[in-house]
Amino acid sequence: MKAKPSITTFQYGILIVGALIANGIFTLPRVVSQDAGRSAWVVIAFVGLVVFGIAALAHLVASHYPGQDPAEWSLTLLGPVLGRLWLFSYLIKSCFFAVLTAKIYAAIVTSRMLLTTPSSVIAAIVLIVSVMAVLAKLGGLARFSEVSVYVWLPLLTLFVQIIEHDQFYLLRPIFGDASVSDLFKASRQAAYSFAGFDILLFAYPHLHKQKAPLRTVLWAMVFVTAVYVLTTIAATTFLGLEQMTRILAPTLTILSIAETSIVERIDSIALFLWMGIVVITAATQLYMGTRALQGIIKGVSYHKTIMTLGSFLLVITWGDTPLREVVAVSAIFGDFDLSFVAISVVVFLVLIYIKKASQKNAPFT
Amino acid sequence: MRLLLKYLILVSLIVNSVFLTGCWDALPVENRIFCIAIGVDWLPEEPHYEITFLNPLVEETRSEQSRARTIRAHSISEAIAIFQHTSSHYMSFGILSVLVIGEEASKQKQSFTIDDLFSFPDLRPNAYIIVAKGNAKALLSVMPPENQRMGLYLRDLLDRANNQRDSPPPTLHEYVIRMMTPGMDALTTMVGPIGSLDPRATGQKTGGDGGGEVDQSEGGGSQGGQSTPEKDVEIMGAAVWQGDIVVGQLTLPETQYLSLAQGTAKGMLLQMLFAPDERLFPQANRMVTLIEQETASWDLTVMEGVPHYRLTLKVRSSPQNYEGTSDLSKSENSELLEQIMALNIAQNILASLQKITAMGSDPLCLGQQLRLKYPDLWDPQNWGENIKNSQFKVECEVTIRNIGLQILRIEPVNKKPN
Amino acid sequence: MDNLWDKIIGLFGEADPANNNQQPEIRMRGYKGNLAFLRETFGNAHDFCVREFRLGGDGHKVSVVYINHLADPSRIAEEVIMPMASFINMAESPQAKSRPPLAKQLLSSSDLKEITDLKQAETLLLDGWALILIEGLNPVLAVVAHASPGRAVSTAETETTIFGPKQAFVETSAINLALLRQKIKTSKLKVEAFTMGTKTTTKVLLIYIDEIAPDNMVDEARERLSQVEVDELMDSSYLESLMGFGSLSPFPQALYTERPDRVAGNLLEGRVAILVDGSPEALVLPVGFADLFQVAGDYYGRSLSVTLVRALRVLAFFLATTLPALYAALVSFNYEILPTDLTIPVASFRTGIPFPPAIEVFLMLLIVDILQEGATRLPTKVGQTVGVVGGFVLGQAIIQAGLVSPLLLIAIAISLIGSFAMPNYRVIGLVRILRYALLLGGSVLSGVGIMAVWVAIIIHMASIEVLGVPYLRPLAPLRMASMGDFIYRRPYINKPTGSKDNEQGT
Repeated sequence: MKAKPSITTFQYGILIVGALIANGIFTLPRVVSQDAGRSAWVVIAFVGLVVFGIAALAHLVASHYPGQDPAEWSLTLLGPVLGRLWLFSYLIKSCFFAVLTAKIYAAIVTSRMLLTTPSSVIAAIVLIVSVMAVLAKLGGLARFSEVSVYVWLPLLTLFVQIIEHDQFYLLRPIFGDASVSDLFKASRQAAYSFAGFDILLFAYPHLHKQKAPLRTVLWAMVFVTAVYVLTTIAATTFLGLEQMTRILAPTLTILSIAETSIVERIDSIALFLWMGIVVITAATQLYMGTRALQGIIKGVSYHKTIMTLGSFLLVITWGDTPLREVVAVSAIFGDFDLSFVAISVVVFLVLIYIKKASQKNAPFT
Repeated sequence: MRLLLKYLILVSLIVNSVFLTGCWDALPVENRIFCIAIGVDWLPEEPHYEITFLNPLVEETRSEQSRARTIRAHSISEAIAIFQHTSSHYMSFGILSVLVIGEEASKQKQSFTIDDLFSFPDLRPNAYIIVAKGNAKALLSVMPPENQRMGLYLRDLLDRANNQRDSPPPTLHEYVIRMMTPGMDALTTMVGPIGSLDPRATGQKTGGDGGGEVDQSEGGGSQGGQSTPEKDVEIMGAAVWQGDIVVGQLTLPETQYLSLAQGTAKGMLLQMLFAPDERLFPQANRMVTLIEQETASWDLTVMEGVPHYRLTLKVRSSPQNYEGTSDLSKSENSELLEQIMALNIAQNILASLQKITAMGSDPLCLGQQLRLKYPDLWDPQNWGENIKNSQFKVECEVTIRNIGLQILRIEPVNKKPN
Repeated sequence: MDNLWDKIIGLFGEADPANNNQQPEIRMRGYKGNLAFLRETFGNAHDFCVREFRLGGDGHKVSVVYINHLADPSRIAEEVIMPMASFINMAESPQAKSRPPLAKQLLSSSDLKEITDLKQAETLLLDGWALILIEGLNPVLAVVAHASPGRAVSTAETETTIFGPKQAFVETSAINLALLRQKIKTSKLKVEAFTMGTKTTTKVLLIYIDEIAPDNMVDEARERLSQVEVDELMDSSYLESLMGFGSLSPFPQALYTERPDRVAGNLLEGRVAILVDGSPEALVLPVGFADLFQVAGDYYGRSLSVTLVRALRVLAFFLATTLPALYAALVSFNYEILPTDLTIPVASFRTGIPFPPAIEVFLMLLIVDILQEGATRLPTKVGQTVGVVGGFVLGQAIIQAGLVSPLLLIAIAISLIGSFAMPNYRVIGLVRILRYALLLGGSVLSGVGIMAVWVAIIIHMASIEVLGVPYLRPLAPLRMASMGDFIYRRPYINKPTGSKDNEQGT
């Protein structure tokens, strides 16, 4: 069934940005600096480059099936049994990540502001709103993502102001703190903040114009990587390496220092506004999970699938998990997620080219 | 109709569940007791800590009064817990302006105090941290002029000091960075209570030298513990930290020279004391000069394992109150003054540098320079000792921009009677 | 349970299709039969008039049927009865004399129809037409004879402007159409007529400019109108729900205007307009969130000043909706966001107030809304008094009684004034609903709750599509070409537009 065009190229890029950026922006500097030291921002830039490569391959896979998303062409490529198995893994991965995203945000909020509020309440609210976003279908989700990003963009200027020029020496030497194995370990830790770019596989068929969206994928990845690098540099120069590795959300800490004449504690405001971006990330994961489930069970309605899936996730979200544990689990899971997508994309590409080659060689009937 | 009923039930369930179970963290602002300043003092006997909480009175809108309460405890957290047991309100640190460490308490490890405070998420990280001359309780008991709240009065005083760079006070977060990073130490403003600087206000004698005179010796200002509350406070210099312990003190001029060495003295009113010089200063003279611009560049070489630091300073300034007899509009006189000022600045900076390094403190981040340039020689654990071996050389160049309008003394004319 | 899920889903923009509205035909029954049918249908209605006479004085029987005051009796007498009664049959043969003459040639009416369906005859009677039943002639003739019982064209009451045209629509759709045609003098202005309401048989006109309005948008509008099935259609405001545009959504999805210039401007931008007989407000579709902050006068002022005013309206909207919730959130949860020097006065103002901040805000909003409703319904002079009493006396008394804090009163006042800055009265209703929803979120979970409600609102807006056009455009999807009439109003330039190559619904 051909997907209905409902998103623009710009929205395609915004979806990728929104799907990635929520998880890493607050916690990534610390997670990477623990192993990479002052080389953290270089590691992040490197991982961004690698992920762009994988995203480009994923985009190549999607472009071979312009009217279908993975819920359909995975069954074509892998067959009904293997395809369903792959979709099932995808479903589990996506649902788990959606829950993790909600839990990270909830844990940050309850550790900094709402101390006695159960974090599962906030996670539940994030999931409920994400279900609403997915119910609006990809077009509605894309429009919501655009508006959320517009609201959040002015916060970026704060990070630029915060960078302490006098303390740039805290970033040096760029290489010297960590060994190669530590840098490699750090890059695997950074993977969770780039997980979610696979939304492009599901969004590609819905593009109005399917020309030159690879450039869109490039600018989206560059933007996300630049934001991560900027926040890491800001955190390192502002807090120093020793302090930064002890704070769970260093980006929020540096925002807490910024003051204006009208408001103080900009970290609280940033945390409120950030909810929009978190919802994009969770909703894109939910959307992928819904489509995967629809691919497994043919004929089931989109709306009923998402409502059932959402209800199930609400139940498993119950329970308070400390931020430290959630971040640790995210780091491990992000590594798995990225590897899973990378391997899948490579396998699909190989299968596509084998299929093409065999079609070329097939005798005329 | 049935559909509408279903909707109503769903909406009611949501609303009721929210109202019945929500609002866990709701605490109206009138149920909080704000802390605008905290004082930490150390006593020899157990429990060692004496914590003073300065709370503004909010019952009356126009009241500017504060109430200071002192609690003996083993830590700040315990003091807060004791406070809560005796109060119907919840202690909140969202508008904390100043953390005052008493002179004795500053000689104890303060990392625990800081750790305790940062466990409160609403703590205002831009609160200043200072050291009190004497004890913190006496400082916070001062009733400042014009009926202002003490904590906010202190804050305004420190804001001004920050803007004019004389003994710039670090905020809590700046202090924590310096406390935790090897090769960086903190320098915190030292403030002491004094009598009012305006004798007309209280009829009391002014404390210390009064009138802005600089006391070069350590100490100064009135002693704490007087029976009548003091009327004002004064910046007396800086406390020198090594990690989380104070290892010494600097006078205000010494602190100002260190700001010059850091290159952060733009806008500072530097108080200079010159030796007698028949060319420009027939008698010993003090002069205040406005530092309009300055650049400080450091260079490091290591010779035989000893770090040699060279500071090159370029200062542009305008003397505010030259009281000598020479005409500074003549270039030979102004050039001479520039040379004398440069020499004076260089000598005083050198003295300050030697003083702080002798204490084992590194507020100028000299260790970071060593880490960057000579990573093999960098030993973060022992830098407090190794810095004592450092050698310094200071080269200074002063340019006078503005000598002001010089009015020559007008002699009365002797009139002969007709 | 399935139905519940479906209806919850239906909150996010899925429209239910309406049913067809076709009425069966009633065939002609001859002169006597037709007359009997009409008498029976209208019963003893005192305004149901039948004027019987003979053609040429002694020829075929003729009955003229009309509804008094809908049709003009003097006009009927002049255009119908006199010509027919005074006709002299000059035919030579007896056979020719016995056939009824071509009545159409006798009548001087400007509009004449032959009716073969009695149901249609009934409809035309109710529309102010006069029916002519001629013995021996099967089709019934209908001539236009409207009495025009409506009001004259006057100035707009709810959309006043300082500059520009002042005309407003009236209750008669024909006159409204004429007003539009005065603005858009092109044959490309298409008008399609529909009849709705089994009891009211209200005429509805769908209007668009053929070269500008996208075909798919017009087709969808036409299809939705043809599927409306309802007993009565008293006003254009019924149509928004009847056409399936989010009956449960608080967001207006159509623009109501009484100004012909505004309708003309929207038609020229590629939208469609709907005129309903009996309603002085036209419906313009599709409309987006951005259009709710625009007024007709925006197009008659200078670009920069209009831009500033529009920005103020958007700011006023956010203040009006969010400020009360923000007060509750900051005072209950996140006081540390307030500047230090403001926190202590806020605490002192709140001292002694018996209610929690959330309840305090809720009660004040309730009182303010009740006052607003009261002042709206009362005559002007009394309404002003109510405003003064409510605003000054009650507010002062509440403060002095210590029931609310002065800061809250300021916040509520700003919120109220912000809502009055909305150019569209229906947006004021939206603001009221959003205020309560945001207050609920802010009271329970502080800024997280406020943000959750805002996110839900934005998602809802993102899911709405009106005639295929997203509600959030030109912001999402971003259309730089349309940003020239969003908050910023681009100055007018010499560049004719007006082709279907324009982006849909811009």
